[in-house]
Amino acid sequence: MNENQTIYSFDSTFSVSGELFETEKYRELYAAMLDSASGKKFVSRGAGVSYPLASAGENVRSIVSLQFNRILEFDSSSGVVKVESGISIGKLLKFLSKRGWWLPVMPGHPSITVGGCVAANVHGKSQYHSGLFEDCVRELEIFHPTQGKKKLSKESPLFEFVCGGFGLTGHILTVSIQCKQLAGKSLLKRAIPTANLFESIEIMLTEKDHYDHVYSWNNLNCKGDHFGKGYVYCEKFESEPAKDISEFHVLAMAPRKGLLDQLLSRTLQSQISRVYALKERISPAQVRMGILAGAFPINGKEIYHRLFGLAGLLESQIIIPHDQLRPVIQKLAKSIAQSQVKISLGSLKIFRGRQTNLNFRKDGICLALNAPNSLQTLELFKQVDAICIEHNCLPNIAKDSRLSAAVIRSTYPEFERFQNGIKNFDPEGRIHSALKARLQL
Amino acid sequence: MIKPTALIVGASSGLGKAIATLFAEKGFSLALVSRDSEDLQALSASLRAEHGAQVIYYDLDLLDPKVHFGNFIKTVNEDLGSIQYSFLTAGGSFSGDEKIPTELAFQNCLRLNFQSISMLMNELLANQKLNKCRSILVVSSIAALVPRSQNNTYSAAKMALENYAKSLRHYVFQSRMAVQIQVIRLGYMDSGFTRGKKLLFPISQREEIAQFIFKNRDKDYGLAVVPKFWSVILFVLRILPWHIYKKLRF
Repeated sequence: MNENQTIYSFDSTFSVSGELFETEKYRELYAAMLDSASGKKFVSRGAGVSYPLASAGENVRSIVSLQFNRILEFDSSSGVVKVESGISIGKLLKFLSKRGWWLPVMPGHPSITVGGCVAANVHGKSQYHSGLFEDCVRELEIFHPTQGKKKLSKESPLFEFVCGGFGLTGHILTVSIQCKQLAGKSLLKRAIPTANLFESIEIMLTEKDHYDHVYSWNNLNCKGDHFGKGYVYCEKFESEPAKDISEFHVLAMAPRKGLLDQLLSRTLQSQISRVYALKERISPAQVRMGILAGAFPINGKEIYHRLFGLAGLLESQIIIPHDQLRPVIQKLAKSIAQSQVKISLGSLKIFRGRQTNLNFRKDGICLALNAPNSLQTLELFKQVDAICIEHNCLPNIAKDSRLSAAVIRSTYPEFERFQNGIKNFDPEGRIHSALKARLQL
Repeated sequence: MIKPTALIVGASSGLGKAIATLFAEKGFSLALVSRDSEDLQALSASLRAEHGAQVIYYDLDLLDPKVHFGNFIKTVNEDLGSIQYSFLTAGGSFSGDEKIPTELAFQNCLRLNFQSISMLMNELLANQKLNKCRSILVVSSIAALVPRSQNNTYSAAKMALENYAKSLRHYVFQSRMAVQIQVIRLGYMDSGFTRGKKLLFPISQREEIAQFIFKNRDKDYGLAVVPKFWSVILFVLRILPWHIYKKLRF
């Protein structure tokens, strides 16, 4: 097996010394997990773009699934596709879209693996319409060194702990997904300028049933009545074809310590919102995009993560219940103004559904904040945690690498249920990660 | 239309897997061979789903001394209809094959890298008319030309394989058989052996090598060093006087 090396969280805010193990043979994959009997704990790893480092841990063997990236079965009449967990959603969507099908839930970058989507139970551009990734999963196969290979349907008790279980139930081998028929050949994106965050929310709630995707970009550095001034984006499938992207880009992995990264982060980091606002001002109000371009808005914008350099970025994502929107937004505006932190990105999505286990799902509005990693940002995000607890908001574990066990216990009512579920399945704790250690799971 | 056919031995990983994927994409009917049936099953399923390829696979352990290669080739021929192209890519090193190798490492290394591959070539040629065989490719390594105190048997086996293939190529020419015997001498390629290692020279992508093999599948090139720049490196290493060579650590 390999020697330990430094493995960074994708946001670049922390690292561990762990082993990266990659194979393309099932025999060796199982052997690497069975080796945990000797005390070497393991965790599965996909593309390695986990913000909270769910896929690595101190002295833990990270088992990389990228070589297991095949489409095993596809039923063109029902739209059910069975894949190995290491396949990227980009490769999968390319295959599906050519055959008239679509993945209902997709994160923004094509390099993310299907296994990663299941483990973090991710949401896409439109959680309101499509739910979380688990909602399109029909069946799973996992491997655990003491439990062996298990096939799980939605009815299996373990299913809910695998989807959103951050890899703590074993290695996901295959995933069967129920795809959706493509409703068109392109996506038409309409940008509606808004005066502030409240207006954005109002427009999104009004338009949500008229479009396939509704989300926003908001400038959270504006003050007073302009706090959150920005654009609401409404997207709809159209029958007219459009020019699409021909290749997928690779995300800039941490540590981003190259000369260019340092230069970019020093000169442009504080200007991100301003530059984006300017770009949107001169862009047409309506844009037609190809299917792949529409699915992966971050593809081609990989420079964004490089703008945060070696120190990295911090992200906080919270769902604010509808009845708490006004006080939460007012408090956030005040905290941001006082902190003098330059927010690099603010964005809204509409969410709905019952909160379970550690899943990021609840009725309300999801607000995402990005800022450069600094003491001021950490202090600001501590205030966001306090606001969350006070106003019954839900923070996103998959996107926030600094959330404490105490905050998660206070905001996730089923925390203990999840903890017990994991402990019952893996009582010896063969699976371990930095995330598991931080949340005391 | 009848599809062209190919046999790939060592198809479950590395170069064999890349060749299988490319040839499936190009519309070949494939017979895949490996001792890792779970990997073969997954690969076959994906080639069918992604490329609509006709694929059959065989669980065969080249280290098993009881394997009857004549019967095996006959079975594949019956199942596939013909074996027009054969890519015998199986091979690998063994722990214990260093300094003075252990008996087991020595035997396994010779069997996998030389004996079994050579016997497969023999059977393919012996039934050439039946197989409608157009080319047989075997994979050697740069290690064959620069032996060192590690992977001793491996480099010797690869050298033996190169020589044996050359003998068969000579025989094929003399007997006017319409078959190409091809050897590629591989430099560093992305695989389990090179992954995560810091090496002195660039690592080639297996897909690029598969492309080279596809483009040249009917050519009588004999032996090709892939990628080409390794020819220069090998030349330099070969002309080094012993008093310098013996001090190299590689």
